[in-house]
Amino acid sequence: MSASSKYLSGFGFLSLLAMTAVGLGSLSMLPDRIEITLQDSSASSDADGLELLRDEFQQLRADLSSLSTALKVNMLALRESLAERAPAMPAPQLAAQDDPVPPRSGKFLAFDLPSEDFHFDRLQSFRLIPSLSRVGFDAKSTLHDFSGATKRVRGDLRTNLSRADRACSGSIKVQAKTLSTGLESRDAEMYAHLATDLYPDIEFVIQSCKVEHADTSDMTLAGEISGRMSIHGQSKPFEMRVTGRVDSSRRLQVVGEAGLKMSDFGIEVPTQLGVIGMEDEVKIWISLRFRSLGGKSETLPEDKGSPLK
Amino acid sequence: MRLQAILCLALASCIPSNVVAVEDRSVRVDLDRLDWQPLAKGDLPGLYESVEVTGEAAAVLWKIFYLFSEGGQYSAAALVLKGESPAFQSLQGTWQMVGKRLDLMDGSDSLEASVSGDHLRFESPTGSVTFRRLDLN
Repeated sequence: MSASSKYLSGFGFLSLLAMTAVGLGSLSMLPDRIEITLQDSSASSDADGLELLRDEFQQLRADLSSLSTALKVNMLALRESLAERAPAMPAPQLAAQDDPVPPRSGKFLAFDLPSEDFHFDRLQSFRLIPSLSRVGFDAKSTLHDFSGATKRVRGDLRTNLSRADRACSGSIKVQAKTLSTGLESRDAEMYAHLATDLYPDIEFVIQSCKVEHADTSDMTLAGEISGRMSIHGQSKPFEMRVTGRVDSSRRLQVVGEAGLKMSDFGIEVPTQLGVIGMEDEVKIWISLRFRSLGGKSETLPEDKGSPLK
Repeated sequence: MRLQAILCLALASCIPSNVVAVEDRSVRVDLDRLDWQPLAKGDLPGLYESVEVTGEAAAVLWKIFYLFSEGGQYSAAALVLKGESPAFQSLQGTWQMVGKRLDLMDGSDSLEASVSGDHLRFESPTGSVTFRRLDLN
């Protein structure tokens, strides 16, 4: 603590005592200077007494005001002096003493986030979230129907959701040997028919999208995706009807299904002793969630017949 | 051969149909089904990772980690998408319970906080984050 600060603190304290003494002295003088006279009819004397009281009261008020001002000045000096003596005390805590309710930003958590929300109408890249995605198939056989599914899927997509028919590309890749029907012997036979050792992946390469409906306000869309499906080492054109929506976590959710004939991809249709057999056509389905990786704003000219609402 | 076929048919008929219903194709995030209770001060200390973020912030707030200490301090990191490149940000500060709400003393809104087992959820009018408690290995 510096000498000047000590002097300032001492001076402030003495000033405070002096002002308090003046105030108390004024208060003690007050009873001596009040004179009460009882008269039957002397309106003028009453008026003098009241005037005297008013003067005294005003004097007291002035003294109190001076005291208050002096107190404020001294308290400020005292606080500065204390702040110098305790430099380790963090500034936010001092600020909190001044204002116990910190100003609120209206933000959710305090990370420095870009102000942008999800942009439906923007060319952007998406990455598939495997833990929240699943693809599978439904098959019919002589005795009972069954499904096979897997979450071992990866993929990406690049498009403007509101104008996906203008530019749309991506791929979805499934690890064939992770498809499970819930029956080990049936799975083993399926892997053999798919020749998963030779062709470990089933891949759908998206080449174009046809949008039939896209709504930027509720962030939904519907249409068809087209491309090439590769299964069992053979690649064929493939189309699938899909719907999409952006969920509350700002993920793009895409669901869809389409029929596919195993024989088109050179897959022998499984049979058991010629008695129990599967139907050649199976229904392929997807339920995928994508995370937007962001993108650049895309200025598109108004086009006629846009499905954009 | 005929006997084998009959046996095969008999065996196959014992296997029930197991077609996945259309509504069950999606991977469910059943966090709402958890039994959420208001957070008590003693519930909070620990390390958490976000498992779901909702609201506008979810578009750019990919992952969040919080470490709350019993002494009232916290340290946090978030993977935030800015432009086309995600990057981590970190925060340090103090926390306190104000009634039933959690105040992170960072200038942001105080949060309605609730717990369910190893899950922790912060909610505000602009969004929510659900966390899962992690072990410090």
